[in-house]
Amino acid sequence: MTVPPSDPSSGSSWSPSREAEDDTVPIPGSQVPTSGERPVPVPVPGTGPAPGASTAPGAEVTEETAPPARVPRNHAADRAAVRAFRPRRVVPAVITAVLMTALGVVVAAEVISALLGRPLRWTPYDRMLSWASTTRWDDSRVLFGAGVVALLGLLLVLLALIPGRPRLIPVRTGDPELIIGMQPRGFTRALTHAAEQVPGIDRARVRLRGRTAEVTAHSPLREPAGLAEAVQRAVTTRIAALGPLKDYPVRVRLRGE
Amino acid sequence: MNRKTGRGNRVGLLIMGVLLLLLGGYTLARGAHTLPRAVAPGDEPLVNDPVRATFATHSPWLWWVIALAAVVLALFGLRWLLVQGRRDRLGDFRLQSGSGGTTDVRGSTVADAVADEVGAHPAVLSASAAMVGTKAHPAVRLRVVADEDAPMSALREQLGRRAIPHMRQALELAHVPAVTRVNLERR
Repeated sequence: MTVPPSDPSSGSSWSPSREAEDDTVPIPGSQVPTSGERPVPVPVPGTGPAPGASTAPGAEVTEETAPPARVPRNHAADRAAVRAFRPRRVVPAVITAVLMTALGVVVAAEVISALLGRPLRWTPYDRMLSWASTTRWDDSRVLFGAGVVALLGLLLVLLALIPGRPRLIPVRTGDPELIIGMQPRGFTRALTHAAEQVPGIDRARVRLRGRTAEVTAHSPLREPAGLAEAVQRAVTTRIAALGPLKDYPVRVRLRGE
Repeated sequence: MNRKTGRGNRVGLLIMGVLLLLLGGYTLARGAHTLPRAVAPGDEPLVNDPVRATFATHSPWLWWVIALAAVVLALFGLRWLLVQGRRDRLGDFRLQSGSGGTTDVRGSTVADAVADEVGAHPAVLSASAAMVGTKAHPAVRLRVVADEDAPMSALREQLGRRAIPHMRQALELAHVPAVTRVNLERR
């Protein structure tokens, strides 16, 4: 079993016949073998430094960018990937649930204890009742409170309806059952390193802004002719190799030291 | 935390949001004298004579209804809270093998085998996995630290062509969805 990183003969999907010949086929019903034979470590293309523009060995670049292009566009797969990493809205849900529980417990305890003849009196409800008996609906305090309540309600509705950005960057896999997401921090770190490997670049910083990758690169060179383009190419190549679902156009800002 | 929780949170937030919106909207409308005077006058106290009369005639059972509603609200809130920590991790499950026999499989064993196979790829620095979902529809969740210089296709192929097909074969299932979280690091 070897790893063909750029095996052109491999089909687009897993074929049972190919697997049957594999020497690590597990016996049905048994535990999955932890594999007696390990894949032979094969150098992965593109493990070297990112090719600078001037010195770019074309073969390496195409080898690195070719695999993502092979992934067929599958809308069901893309949707599944985006959905899998949507935010779960845990914070607003927890806050709302805590308030609901607290309100329910207080009201139930007060009412039931009073009905049983031993009022707890956690809240000054006599004073609340006398306030409510003398305050009109058109009182400014009532209107202000109502406005706050309505705004809170609107906020919760919006939190529920707006899907939110995925927390992870979905990767195009072409298979709805194979969902891969990248941690944004690792993704930008990889792009930063790609930019820094361009000859003439000291340090760089990459930020994702919406759907754009913004690169700020620092160079000690006096005349950085073509350097920005080289950085852009290096980062674009790395993005293509990492294969995110949506493409990130690269914008480069070059700064002197 | 699973997908069901995410959907439940949306529904819960929507319901509470609509309730608050209705309550605030009604109070604003009544306070602004836009509702018919005969039904909802704005220049009356919040608790006026009709409200007192209602409670007086329907006491005490109206209070029991309020108490019951409060208990239901608290229970819903509590359940909603508890669900946040819900994990859908799968423990042991049983396989029906072709000859009619059954085999017990530990979820963690299957998951470890997948993680080992993924981790064997040179582009993968470390990998861990857990079986999730239900016994009828198991899924696998992976966390992978991959070499940032390797193309994602390497990981995709290792997963999609090797590790997951092998697991499907071992479990004798046609579908085992996989969700993988990848962190990229420098080797």
